[in-house]
Amino acid sequence: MGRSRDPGSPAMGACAVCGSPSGGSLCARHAKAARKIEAHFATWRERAGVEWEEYLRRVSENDLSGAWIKETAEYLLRSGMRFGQISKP
Amino acid sequence: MRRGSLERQLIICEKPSAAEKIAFALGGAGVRRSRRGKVPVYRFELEGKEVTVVPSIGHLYAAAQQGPGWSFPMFSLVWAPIHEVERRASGSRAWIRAISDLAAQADSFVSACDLDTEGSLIAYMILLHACRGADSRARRMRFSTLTRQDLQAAYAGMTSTLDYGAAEAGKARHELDWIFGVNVSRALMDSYSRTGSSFEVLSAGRVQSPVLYALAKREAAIRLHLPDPFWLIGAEAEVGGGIVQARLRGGKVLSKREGEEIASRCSGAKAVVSRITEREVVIPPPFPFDLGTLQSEASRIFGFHPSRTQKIAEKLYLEALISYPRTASQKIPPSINCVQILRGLAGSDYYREMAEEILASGRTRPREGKKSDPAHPAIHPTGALPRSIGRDEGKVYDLVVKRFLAAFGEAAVQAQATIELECSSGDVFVADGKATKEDGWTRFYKPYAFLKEALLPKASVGDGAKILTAWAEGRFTAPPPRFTASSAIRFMERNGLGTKSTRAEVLDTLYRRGYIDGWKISVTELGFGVTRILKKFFPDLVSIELTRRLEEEIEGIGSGERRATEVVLKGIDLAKGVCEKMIDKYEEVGDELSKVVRKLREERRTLGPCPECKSGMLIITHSRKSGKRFVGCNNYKNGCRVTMPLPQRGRITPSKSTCKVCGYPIIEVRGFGKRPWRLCVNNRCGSKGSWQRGSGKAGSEDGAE
Ligand SMILES: [Zn+2]
Ligand SMILES: [Zn+2]
Repeated sequence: MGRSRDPGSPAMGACAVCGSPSGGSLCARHAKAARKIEAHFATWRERAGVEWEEYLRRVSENDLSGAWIKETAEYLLRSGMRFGQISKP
Repeated sequence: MRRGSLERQLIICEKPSAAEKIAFALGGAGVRRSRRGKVPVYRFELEGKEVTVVPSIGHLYAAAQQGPGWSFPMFSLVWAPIHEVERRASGSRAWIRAISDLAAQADSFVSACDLDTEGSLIAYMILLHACRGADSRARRMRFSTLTRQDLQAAYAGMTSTLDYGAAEAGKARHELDWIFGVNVSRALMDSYSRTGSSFEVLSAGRVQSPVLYALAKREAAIRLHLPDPFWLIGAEAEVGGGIVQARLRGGKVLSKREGEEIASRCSGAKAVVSRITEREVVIPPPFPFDLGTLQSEASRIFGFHPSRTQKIAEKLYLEALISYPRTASQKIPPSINCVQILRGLAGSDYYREMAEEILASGRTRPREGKKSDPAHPAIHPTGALPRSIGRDEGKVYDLVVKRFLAAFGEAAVQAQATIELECSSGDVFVADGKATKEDGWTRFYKPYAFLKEALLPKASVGDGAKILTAWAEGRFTAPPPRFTASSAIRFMERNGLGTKSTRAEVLDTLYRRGYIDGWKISVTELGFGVTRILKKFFPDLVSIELTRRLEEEIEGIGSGERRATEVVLKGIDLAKGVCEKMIDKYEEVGDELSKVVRKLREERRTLGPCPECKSGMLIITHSRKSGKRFVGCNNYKNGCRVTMPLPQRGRITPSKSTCKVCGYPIIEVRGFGKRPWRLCVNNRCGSKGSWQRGSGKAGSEDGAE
């Protein structure tokens, strides 16, 4: 099965997570979520001893995670994006 | 009709049920009922006067645009009969005519509308317009309950003029709401129509917008919440011959490894009782209800929406069972005869024992809270007993009565104890206990309050103990809680947004416009979009500060500190400023709005993720050839060929839930004049038969929220 969007090269001006118009590869909401996901990684690694991918998986499956955080974590997992690789809009 | 030298007096009431109570309280057996069209009229003689009592049906006049047409900006308003302004108020024409006719035969006038700014305004407008300037000859009855005794006292002690302050404050509030609402909404629609489309009716308001903004901020915080892990260490311990639940002193542990280490070194470890604390906790009785507290208690206990509670309480007031509910007061002034109310309640089998206990105790004054209200006391029962009462009314009535009784109760007392157990490793576990010594007021407030208990075994410092087992419990930091209608109303109250009588209505408007949704409030895409635009282009409008300041000034009119014209002019200036700021940015506003509308349309046609390719979304699409609508996956370009037919009639909305049988989205179909029905969009699904028959049953489903 194919993917609707190739995460490596998102359509110009469309958020790779939700498809809504955006200046960069992510819309304002999902860019904010991505920055937050990166910022909390250190805490998770220290406290729970998990690496990047496992971290994304746990965050995306946690019921307390906000909807925008979940969507973005799922996208980062799907796209195989590494820590520090998320482009800042 | 008898005409003589008798003075003819017209008493104007706010609602039909109030008019009936007032007429019979004053006229007793001598009351003659009649009707003018559908309007009930009561006549009787009193103190040498021929008295006529007539009800209104709430507001008969409303702020409206002066002259026809659609223009922006618009600051010329007039007060017009409400049936000329709102289509759904067409019934009020007959009331204006009836009151007008009666006024033509009257010599003197009395306002007996509810004693607050709205009631004062209702009477003022009727006297001014329907009674042709009779406001200057009118007097005011002031009462907080519709009992015979209070009404007779209010008639005997009525003031010699209308309460113009309150009426002017109410008038200014309506005018400011109108000016802000009309101009900001029209500015939005005007800029939007310049993008070449016209579709959603967009609106914004003076109180509504800062509330929506606060709700949207909370929603964004929830959607951006990232839970961080932490651990709590729990234990089961043996001490003093009993088993207790305990927790590690010091709270959270911030690493999994550390948590597991503590748990494993403490499991089975010997310990000693290192400390015992005991203290008495005195829990004072609650205050009698103000409206906000009644609403939040009814929401907590019965799950009632605040506007429902308010309606029920107003009904109980009109039945003279409780005092006027739109009050901010938590006080019962000495002028209210509590002994008489308690004796009245003692006439009921259900409340007798409690009421008699209080009467016997000699405590005839209830505990009071800090909040007060210039016009009304706290909500309290009148002492009259309901002959028959509906289920929901019965619940709210019981809550009000028991709260009132509880306020006379004595403090409840609990003994709270902790036992600390220290392991040789230095880890300290704490067990908590609570035992009730005096149940006090809680006896009167059952089942709405109870005291939690957890008894600890007897132990002394130095006693041996054993941690039987200890464990590390993984937890996560939680997002801020969603607002409920009742917490949103408390938020408005804290921030001085709206008034006690309008807060529930403001929320209802937000629900009706589709800006918010759900019992636990979530903000919709439309709500987010409107908020973003308001925040960007009308920052003053979403500011709590501005709205609160204006509200304070309006209250200043009521207390005579401010002049109404001064406050309204100030409001016009503010509204002008708000609009001026955005005029230059018209195009930008229009573009943003069309983005919001596009997103909204997208949201309305997106059903959910495609269960086949798992990466596309199922979208409602229209066929270019036939114009028929169907469901397709937006992953078409990458090879997902999922398509499914749809019913061609009725309005289809996504339900946000999925079919239990096949996992496809469930949709809701609303036919014209039919009940909406739900069905699975998958035409190969087992639950499918239902949609062809259109029976409205869509098999089983889950996740229906
Ligand atoms: Zn996005
Ligand atoms: Zn199905």
